[in-house]
Amino acid sequence: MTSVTRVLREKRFLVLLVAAAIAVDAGLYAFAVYPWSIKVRNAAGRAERANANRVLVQQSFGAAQATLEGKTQADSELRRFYRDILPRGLAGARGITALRLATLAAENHLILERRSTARDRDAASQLARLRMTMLLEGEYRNIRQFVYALEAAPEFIVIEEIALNEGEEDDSAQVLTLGLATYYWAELEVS
Amino acid sequence: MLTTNLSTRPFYNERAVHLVLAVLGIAAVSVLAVGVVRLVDLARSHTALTAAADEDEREAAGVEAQTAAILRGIGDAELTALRDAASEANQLIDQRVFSWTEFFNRIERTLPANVMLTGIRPDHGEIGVTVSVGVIGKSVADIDEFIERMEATGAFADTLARQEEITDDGTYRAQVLGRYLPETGRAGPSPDTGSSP
Repeated sequence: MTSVTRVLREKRFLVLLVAAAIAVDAGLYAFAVYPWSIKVRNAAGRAERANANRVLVQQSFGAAQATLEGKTQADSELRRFYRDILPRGLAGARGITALRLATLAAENHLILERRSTARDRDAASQLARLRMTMLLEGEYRNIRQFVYALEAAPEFIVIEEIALNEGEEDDSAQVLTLGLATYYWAELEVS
Repeated sequence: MLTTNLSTRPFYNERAVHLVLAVLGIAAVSVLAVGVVRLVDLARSHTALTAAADEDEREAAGVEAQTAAILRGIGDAELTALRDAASEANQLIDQRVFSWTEFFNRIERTLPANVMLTGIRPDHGEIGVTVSVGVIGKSVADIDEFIERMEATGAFADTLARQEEITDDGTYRAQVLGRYLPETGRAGPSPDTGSSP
Protein backbone atom coordinates (compact mmCIF):
# COMPACT_ATOMS: atom_id res chain seq x y z
CA MET A 1 0.00 0.00 0.00
CA THR A 2 1.47 3.29 -0.97
CA SER A 3 1.64 6.09 1.51
CA VAL A 4 -0.86 8.21 -0.48
CA THR A 5 -3.48 5.49 -0.34
CA ARG A 6 -2.80 5.08 3.30
CA VAL A 7 -3.15 8.80 3.94
CA LEU A 8 -6.39 8.90 1.98
CA ARG A 9 -7.77 6.02 3.94
CA GLU A 10 -6.66 7.25 7.29
CA LYS A 11 -7.75 10.86 6.68
CA ARG A 12 -10.91 9.84 4.81
CA PHE A 13 -13.20 12.22 6.64
CA LEU A 14 -11.00 15.26 6.08
CA VAL A 15 -10.30 14.30 2.51
CA LEU A 16 -14.00 13.81 1.82
CA LEU A 17 -14.75 17.12 3.43
CA VAL A 18 -12.25 18.90 1.19
CA ALA A 19 -13.40 16.93 -1.86
CA ALA A 20 -17.01 17.82 -1.08
CA ALA A 21 -16.09 21.49 -0.80
CA ILE A 22 -14.29 21.35 -4.16
CA ALA A 23 -17.27 19.52 -5.70
CA VAL A 24 -19.66 22.15 -4.34
CA ASP A 25 -17.38 24.82 -5.83
CA ALA A 26 -17.39 23.10 -9.20
CA GLY A 27 -21.14 22.65 -9.06
CA LEU A 28 -21.67 26.27 -8.06
CA TYR A 29 -19.61 27.53 -10.98
CA ALA A 30 -20.94 25.02 -13.49
CA PHE A 31 -24.62 25.20 -12.63
CA ALA A 32 -25.08 28.68 -11.15
CA VAL A 33 -22.29 31.18 -11.81
CA TYR A 34 -21.71 30.25 -15.47
CA PRO A 35 -25.42 30.17 -16.49
CA TRP A 36 -26.03 33.41 -14.63
CA SER A 37 -23.03 35.00 -16.37
CA ILE A 38 -24.62 34.11 -19.70
CA LYS A 39 -27.98 35.42 -18.51
CA VAL A 40 -26.39 38.68 -17.41
CA ARG A 41 -24.51 38.99 -20.72
CA ASN A 42 -27.78 38.49 -22.60
CA ALA A 43 -29.57 40.92 -20.32
CA ALA A 44 -26.81 43.48 -20.90
CA GLY A 45 -27.19 43.02 -24.66
CA ARG A 46 -30.94 43.41 -24.40
CA ALA A 47 -30.57 46.49 -22.19
CA GLU A 48 -28.10 48.00 -24.66
CA ARG A 49 -30.41 47.35 -27.61
CA ALA A 50 -33.40 48.67 -25.71
CA ASN A 51 -31.47 51.80 -24.80
CA ALA A 52 -30.28 52.34 -28.38
CA ASN A 53 -33.82 51.77 -29.65
CA ARG A 54 -35.20 54.22 -27.07
CA VAL A 55 -32.69 56.85 -28.22
CA LEU A 56 -33.68 56.25 -31.86
CA VAL A 57 -37.38 56.40 -31.04
CA GLN A 58 -36.84 59.60 -29.08
CA GLN A 59 -34.98 61.08 -32.05
CA SER A 60 -37.86 60.12 -34.33
CA PHE A 61 -40.26 61.69 -31.85
CA GLY A 62 -38.14 64.87 -31.82
CA ALA A 63 -38.15 64.93 -35.61
CA ALA A 64 -41.93 64.36 -35.72
CA GLN A 65 -42.46 67.12 -33.17
CA ALA A 66 -40.19 69.44 -35.16
CA THR A 67 -42.16 68.58 -38.30
CA LEU A 68 -45.41 69.30 -36.48
CA GLU A 69 -44.08 72.60 -35.14
CA GLY A 70 -42.69 73.49 -38.55
CA LYS A 71 -45.99 72.58 -40.15
CA THR A 72 -47.95 74.65 -37.65
CA GLN A 73 -45.62 77.60 -38.12
CA ALA A 74 -45.58 77.27 -41.91
CA ASP A 75 -49.35 76.96 -41.90
CA SER A 76 -49.74 80.09 -39.79
CA GLU A 77 -47.24 82.05 -41.90
CA LEU A 78 -48.94 80.92 -45.09
CA ARG A 79 -52.32 82.04 -43.76
CA ARG A 80 -50.81 85.38 -42.79
CA PHE A 81 -49.29 85.66 -46.28
CA TYR A 82 -52.62 84.84 -47.93
CA ARG A 83 -54.70 87.12 -45.72
CA ASP A 84 -52.39 90.04 -44.89
CA ILE A 85 -49.86 90.29 -47.70
CA LEU A 86 -51.84 89.21 -50.73
CA PRO A 87 -54.96 91.11 -51.80
CA ARG A 88 -58.23 89.65 -50.55
CA GLY A 89 -60.04 87.99 -53.39
CA LEU A 90 -60.49 89.22 -56.93
CA ALA A 91 -61.96 92.51 -55.71
CA GLY A 92 -58.85 93.20 -53.66
CA ALA A 93 -56.57 92.24 -56.53
CA ARG A 94 -58.50 94.50 -58.88
CA GLY A 95 -58.34 97.26 -56.29
CA ILE A 96 -54.56 97.29 -56.05
CA THR A 97 -53.99 97.07 -59.80
CA ALA A 98 -56.63 98.89 -61.82
CA LEU A 99 -56.74 102.42 -60.46
CA ARG A 100 -53.50 102.24 -58.51
CA LEU A 101 -51.32 101.45 -61.53
CA ALA A 102 -53.00 104.05 -63.71
CA THR A 103 -52.42 106.67 -60.99
CA LEU A 104 -48.80 105.59 -60.56
CA ALA A 105 -48.25 105.88 -64.33
CA ALA A 106 -49.76 109.34 -64.42
CA GLU A 107 -47.68 110.43 -61.42
CA ASN A 108 -44.58 109.42 -63.35
CA HIS A 109 -45.66 111.22 -66.53
CA LEU A 110 -46.33 108.08 -68.49
CA ILE A 111 -49.23 107.72 -70.86
CA LEU A 112 -51.26 104.58 -70.43
CA GLU A 113 -51.93 103.54 -74.01
CA ARG A 114 -53.47 100.15 -73.50
CA ARG A 115 -54.18 97.73 -70.75
CA SER A 116 -55.50 94.20 -70.67
CA THR A 117 -56.36 92.01 -67.70
CA ALA A 118 -56.92 88.28 -67.35
CA ARG A 119 -57.11 85.86 -64.50
CA ASP A 120 -56.00 82.29 -64.32
CA ARG A 121 -55.33 79.61 -61.80
CA ASP A 122 -53.02 76.65 -61.65
CA ALA A 123 -55.05 73.56 -60.70
CA ALA A 124 -52.44 72.52 -58.14
CA SER A 125 -52.35 75.93 -56.46
CA GLN A 126 -54.61 77.57 -53.91
CA LEU A 127 -53.82 80.92 -55.44
CA ALA A 128 -55.41 82.59 -58.40
CA ARG A 129 -53.46 85.08 -60.52
CA LEU A 130 -54.65 88.35 -61.94
CA ARG A 131 -52.40 89.25 -64.86
CA MET A 132 -52.21 92.64 -66.41
CA THR A 133 -50.37 93.87 -69.46
CA MET A 134 -49.81 97.61 -69.61
CA LEU A 135 -48.57 99.59 -72.56
CA LEU A 136 -47.04 102.84 -71.33
CA GLU A 137 -45.35 105.58 -73.27
CA GLY A 138 -42.92 108.11 -71.91
CA GLU A 139 -39.33 109.03 -71.37
CA TYR A 140 -36.91 106.41 -70.24
CA ARG A 141 -36.13 108.10 -66.91
CA ASN A 142 -39.85 108.25 -66.15
CA ILE A 143 -40.19 104.59 -66.98
CA ARG A 144 -37.34 103.88 -64.51
CA GLN A 145 -39.05 105.99 -61.85
CA PHE A 146 -42.33 104.18 -62.45
CA VAL A 147 -40.65 100.78 -62.06
CA TYR A 148 -38.92 101.98 -58.88
CA ALA A 149 -42.19 103.31 -57.46
CA LEU A 150 -43.88 100.00 -58.24
CA GLU A 151 -41.09 98.11 -56.49
CA ALA A 152 -41.27 100.34 -53.43
CA ALA A 153 -45.08 100.19 -53.23
CA PRO A 154 -46.57 98.13 -50.39
CA GLU A 155 -48.96 96.28 -52.68
CA PHE A 156 -48.09 92.75 -53.73
CA ILE A 157 -47.61 93.31 -57.44
CA VAL A 158 -45.03 91.30 -59.33
CA ILE A 159 -43.41 92.58 -62.49
CA GLU A 160 -43.17 89.50 -64.65
CA GLU A 161 -41.84 90.95 -67.86
CA ILE A 162 -40.66 94.19 -69.33
CA ALA A 163 -40.38 95.04 -73.02
CA LEU A 164 -39.05 98.32 -74.38
CA ASN A 165 -39.58 99.82 -77.83
CA GLU A 166 -38.80 103.13 -79.42
CA GLY A 167 -41.75 105.52 -79.54
CA GLU A 168 -43.18 106.17 -82.96
CA GLU A 169 -43.76 109.90 -82.73
CA ASP A 170 -41.19 111.25 -80.30
CA ASP A 171 -37.49 110.19 -80.47
CA SER A 172 -36.98 110.52 -76.73
CA ALA A 173 -40.14 108.57 -75.91
CA GLN A 174 -40.18 104.87 -75.38
CA VAL A 175 -42.96 102.37 -75.18
CA LEU A 176 -42.92 100.11 -72.17
CA THR A 177 -44.88 96.89 -72.24
CA LEU A 178 -45.18 95.70 -68.68
CA GLY A 179 -46.37 92.26 -67.69
CA LEU A 180 -47.68 92.47 -64.13
CA ALA A 181 -49.38 90.01 -61.86
CA THR A 182 -50.89 89.84 -58.44
CA TYR A 183 -52.13 86.79 -56.59
CA TYR A 184 -54.98 86.12 -54.21
CA TRP A 185 -56.30 83.20 -52.26
CA ALA A 186 -58.78 81.47 -54.54
CA GLU A 187 -60.88 80.16 -51.63
CA LEU A 188 -61.63 83.73 -50.61
CA GLU A 189 -62.93 84.33 -54.10
CA VAL A 190 -65.36 81.45 -53.67
CA SER A 191 -66.49 82.47 -50.18
CA MET B 1 21.69 0.74 17.74
CA LEU B 2 19.31 -0.12 14.91
CA THR B 3 19.17 2.41 12.09
CA THR B 4 16.67 0.54 9.93
CA ASN B 5 12.91 1.11 10.38
CA LEU B 6 11.39 -2.29 10.88
CA SER B 7 7.77 -1.13 11.37
CA THR B 8 5.19 -2.35 8.82
CA ARG B 9 3.44 0.92 9.18
CA PRO B 10 6.13 3.53 9.10
CA PHE B 11 5.24 7.01 10.35
CA TYR B 12 4.47 9.72 7.84
CA ASN B 13 4.45 13.44 8.31
CA GLU B 14 0.92 13.92 9.56
CA ARG B 15 1.43 17.61 10.13
CA ALA B 16 2.24 18.08 6.44
CA VAL B 17 -0.88 16.11 5.44
CA HIS B 18 -3.04 18.19 7.75
CA LEU B 19 -1.47 21.33 6.36
CA VAL B 20 -2.18 20.30 2.78
CA LEU B 21 -5.75 19.35 3.62
CA ALA B 22 -6.25 22.58 5.56
CA VAL B 23 -4.90 24.65 2.67
CA LEU B 24 -7.11 22.81 0.23
CA GLY B 25 -10.10 23.18 2.53
CA ILE B 26 -9.52 26.90 3.08
CA ALA B 27 -9.04 27.39 -0.68
CA ALA B 28 -12.24 25.51 -1.43
CA VAL B 29 -14.22 27.49 1.11
CA SER B 30 -12.72 30.74 -0.20
CA VAL B 31 -13.62 29.83 -3.78
CA LEU B 32 -17.10 28.95 -2.55
CA ALA B 33 -17.43 32.30 -0.82
CA VAL B 34 -16.21 34.15 -3.93
CA GLY B 35 -18.61 32.12 -6.05
CA VAL B 36 -21.55 32.96 -3.79
CA VAL B 37 -20.65 36.65 -3.81
CA ARG B 38 -20.27 36.54 -7.60
CA LEU B 39 -23.61 34.78 -7.91
CA VAL B 40 -25.31 37.42 -5.77
CA ASP B 41 -23.66 40.13 -7.89
CA LEU B 42 -24.80 38.46 -11.09
CA ALA B 43 -28.33 38.14 -9.80
CA ARG B 44 -28.39 41.80 -8.84
CA SER B 45 -26.92 42.86 -12.21
CA HIS B 46 -29.45 40.70 -14.01
CA THR B 47 -32.31 42.24 -12.09
CA ALA B 48 -31.02 45.76 -12.72
CA LEU B 49 -30.35 45.17 -16.43
CA THR B 50 -33.69 43.50 -16.98
CA ALA B 51 -35.45 46.33 -15.18
CA ALA B 52 -33.56 48.92 -17.25
CA ALA B 53 -34.36 47.06 -20.48
CA ASP B 54 -38.03 46.76 -19.47
CA GLU B 55 -38.13 50.46 -18.65
CA ASP B 56 -36.44 51.43 -21.94
CA GLU B 57 -38.74 49.17 -23.95
CA ARG B 58 -41.80 50.53 -22.19
CA GLU B 59 -40.67 54.11 -22.73
CA ALA B 60 -39.77 53.42 -26.38
CA ALA B 61 -43.19 51.87 -26.98
CA GLY B 62 -44.89 54.90 -25.43
CA VAL B 63 -42.80 57.39 -27.42
CA GLU B 64 -43.32 55.33 -30.59
CA ALA B 65 -47.08 55.50 -30.09
CA GLN B 66 -46.87 59.27 -29.59
CA THR B 67 -44.73 59.62 -32.72
CA ALA B 68 -47.19 57.56 -34.74
CA ALA B 69 -50.06 59.71 -33.44
CA ILE B 70 -48.23 62.90 -34.43
CA LEU B 71 -47.40 61.56 -37.89
CA ARG B 72 -50.99 60.37 -38.36
CA GLY B 73 -52.13 63.86 -37.39
CA ILE B 74 -49.83 65.51 -39.89
CA GLY B 75 -50.68 63.29 -42.82
CA ASP B 76 -48.46 62.87 -45.87
CA ALA B 77 -50.85 64.46 -48.33
CA GLU B 78 -51.39 67.48 -46.11
CA LEU B 79 -47.65 67.88 -45.59
CA THR B 80 -46.98 67.66 -49.33
CA ALA B 81 -49.67 70.24 -50.04
CA LEU B 82 -48.23 72.54 -47.37
CA ARG B 83 -44.70 72.10 -48.76
CA ASP B 84 -45.93 72.95 -52.26
CA ALA B 85 -47.86 75.97 -51.00
CA ALA B 86 -44.83 77.20 -49.03
CA SER B 87 -42.60 76.71 -52.06
CA GLU B 88 -45.07 78.64 -54.22
CA ALA B 89 -45.28 81.45 -51.64
CA ASN B 90 -41.49 81.67 -51.41
CA GLN B 91 -41.24 81.84 -55.17
CA LEU B 92 -43.79 84.66 -55.27
CA ILE B 93 -41.91 86.53 -52.55
CA ASP B 94 -38.67 86.07 -54.50
CA GLN B 95 -40.39 87.55 -57.55
CA ARG B 96 -41.77 90.43 -55.50
CA VAL B 97 -38.42 91.34 -53.93
CA PHE B 98 -36.58 91.06 -57.23
CA SER B 99 -35.06 94.50 -57.71
CA TRP B 100 -35.69 95.67 -61.24
CA THR B 101 -34.01 98.96 -60.43
CA GLU B 102 -30.81 97.21 -59.43
CA PHE B 103 -31.10 95.03 -62.52
CA PHE B 104 -31.55 98.06 -64.80
CA ASN B 105 -28.55 99.74 -63.14
CA ARG B 106 -26.38 96.74 -63.92
CA ILE B 107 -27.63 96.43 -67.49
CA GLU B 108 -27.13 100.13 -68.19
CA ARG B 109 -23.53 99.91 -67.01
CA THR B 110 -22.82 96.97 -69.25
CA LEU B 111 -24.67 98.00 -72.41
CA PRO B 112 -22.28 99.03 -75.18
CA ALA B 113 -23.22 102.17 -77.13
CA ASN B 114 -24.45 100.18 -80.11
CA VAL B 115 -26.72 97.86 -78.17
CA MET B 116 -30.29 98.64 -77.13
CA LEU B 117 -32.35 96.83 -74.54
CA THR B 118 -35.70 95.53 -75.81
CA GLY B 119 -36.99 93.20 -73.15
CA ILE B 120 -36.32 91.48 -69.85
CA ARG B 121 -37.94 88.43 -68.40
CA PRO B 122 -36.69 86.88 -65.17
CA ASP B 123 -37.58 83.31 -64.35
CA HIS B 124 -37.46 82.41 -60.66
CA GLY B 125 -36.69 78.73 -60.37
CA GLU B 126 -35.27 76.45 -57.72
CA ILE B 127 -31.69 77.02 -58.85
CA GLY B 128 -32.07 80.82 -58.72
CA VAL B 129 -33.01 83.51 -61.19
CA THR B 130 -32.54 82.99 -64.89
CA VAL B 131 -32.97 86.12 -67.00
CA SER B 132 -33.80 86.41 -70.61
CA VAL B 133 -32.64 89.76 -71.96
CA GLY B 134 -33.71 90.93 -75.40
CA VAL B 135 -31.31 93.31 -77.16
CA ILE B 136 -30.76 94.87 -80.55
CA GLY B 137 -27.18 95.52 -81.61
CA LYS B 138 -25.57 97.04 -84.66
CA SER B 139 -23.43 93.93 -85.08
CA VAL B 140 -23.01 90.49 -83.60
CA ALA B 141 -19.71 91.71 -82.12
CA ASP B 142 -21.60 94.38 -80.13
CA ILE B 143 -23.89 91.75 -78.70
CA ASP B 144 -20.91 89.55 -77.79
CA GLU B 145 -19.29 92.53 -76.08
CA PHE B 146 -22.48 93.05 -74.09
CA ILE B 147 -22.42 89.42 -72.97
CA GLU B 148 -18.76 89.69 -71.92
CA ARG B 149 -19.43 92.87 -69.99
CA MET B 150 -22.41 91.24 -68.26
CA GLU B 151 -20.29 88.34 -67.06
CA ALA B 152 -17.46 90.68 -66.03
CA THR B 153 -19.74 92.26 -63.40
CA GLY B 154 -19.94 88.91 -61.60
CA ALA B 155 -23.71 89.24 -61.40
CA PHE B 156 -24.33 87.07 -64.45
CA ALA B 157 -23.15 83.56 -65.18
CA ASP B 158 -23.57 80.97 -67.92
CA THR B 159 -24.66 83.72 -70.28
CA LEU B 160 -25.48 82.73 -73.82
CA ALA B 161 -27.01 84.40 -76.86
CA ARG B 162 -29.64 81.78 -77.59
CA GLN B 163 -30.90 83.35 -80.74
CA GLU B 164 -29.46 86.05 -83.01
CA GLU B 165 -31.07 87.22 -86.21
CA ILE B 166 -30.69 90.10 -88.59
CA THR B 167 -33.59 92.54 -88.78
CA ASP B 168 -34.99 94.49 -91.73
CA ASP B 169 -32.88 97.55 -90.92
CA GLY B 170 -29.63 95.53 -90.81
CA THR B 171 -29.26 95.43 -87.05
CA TYR B 172 -29.14 92.20 -85.05
CA ARG B 173 -31.79 91.10 -82.61
CA ALA B 174 -30.68 88.67 -79.90
CA GLN B 175 -32.12 86.87 -76.93
CA VAL B 176 -29.50 86.55 -74.21
CA LEU B 177 -30.08 84.01 -71.49
CA GLY B 178 -28.10 83.71 -68.27
CA ARG B 179 -28.19 83.12 -64.55
CA TYR B 180 -28.56 86.27 -62.48
CA LEU B 181 -26.64 86.36 -59.19
CA PRO B 182 -27.47 89.75 -57.65
CA GLU B 183 -25.69 89.02 -54.36
CA THR B 184 -22.31 88.49 -56.02
CA GLY B 185 -22.19 91.51 -58.32
CA ARG B 186 -21.75 95.22 -57.70
CA ALA B 187 -24.90 97.30 -57.98
CA GLY B 188 -26.35 100.67 -57.18
CA PRO B 189 -29.33 100.83 -54.80
CA SER B 190 -31.34 103.72 -56.31
CA PRO B 191 -32.61 104.16 -59.84
CA ASP B 192 -30.02 105.64 -62.15
CA THR B 193 -32.45 107.40 -64.47
CA GLY B 194 -29.84 108.91 -66.75
CA SER B 195 -29.76 107.77 -70.31
CA SER B 196 -31.94 105.50 -72.32
CA PRO B 197 -30.36 102.04 -72.90
